Amino acid sequence: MLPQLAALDLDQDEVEEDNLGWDEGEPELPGPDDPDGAEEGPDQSRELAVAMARVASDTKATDVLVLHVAPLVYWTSYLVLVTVTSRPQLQAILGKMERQARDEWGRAPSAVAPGRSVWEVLDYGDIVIHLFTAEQREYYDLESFYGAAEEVELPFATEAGEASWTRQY
Amino acid sequence: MIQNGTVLQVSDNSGAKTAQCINQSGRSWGIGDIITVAIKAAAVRGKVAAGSVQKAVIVETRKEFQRRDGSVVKFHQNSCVLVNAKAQPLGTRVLGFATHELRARQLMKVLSLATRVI
Repeated sequence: MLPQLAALDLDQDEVEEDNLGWDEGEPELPGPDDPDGAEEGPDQSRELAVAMARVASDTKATDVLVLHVAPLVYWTSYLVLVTVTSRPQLQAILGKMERQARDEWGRAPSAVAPGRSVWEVLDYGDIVIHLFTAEQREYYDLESFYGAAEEVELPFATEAGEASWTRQY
Repeated sequence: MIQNGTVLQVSDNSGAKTAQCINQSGRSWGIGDIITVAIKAAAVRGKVAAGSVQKAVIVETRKEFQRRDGSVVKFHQNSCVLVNAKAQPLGTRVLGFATHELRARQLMKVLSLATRVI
């Protein structure tokens, strides 16, 4: 018999069940029925989308629309569509949105800063914000492209523009 | 791997059908890269004319590429979407496939107009 094996105490066949700790409480794993885990993510995204819409509305943007597109696409959950009347207004809304998302929500948009065109996009992952002029919004017509999406009801009054799609329907 | 001389299908509704890469030679481009193309065939009443020079974003390649999770993606054709100098699409819809690699390239406008995103 090897000396190493002889040093081992191999006679302890009696297992003390108390020391194993198998019955000392089962680990709490988050399940599908966990109400806290299921509601936290989508609610935060929705709240941020509504907050961004409020920022746009407070800055005199028109036709502010929030669409819940999670059932339609996988790459985002909410789309915020905003119509602006001028490029300076667009840049002002962009700056306010970025500041509020950074200061109050701790969220940062995509790395590269947007340029100075008549259509700008802020990408927060689960929320994508489109800011464009009325002509660009009518040209690309994202409302009809995401027509099957649910419109999120905003808790504040928004200013309707000349080409309000809600009026058309 | 799109290189100088590659003919790509135009997968938007700008009116163009096929475009040929006319970038400088010596390297190749992949999905998400913006190249210069010459429109070879286009619809009569489209937004662009055949023979014109445009910028385009590569959205599909026959050459496979690998993602970080180990999956490999390749398409049956080389396709592009026409854009302007500010990377804004000329058409209003992207009719073919688009990959979410465009998101990392700050091309969310193209992704937002795509019907099929993988």
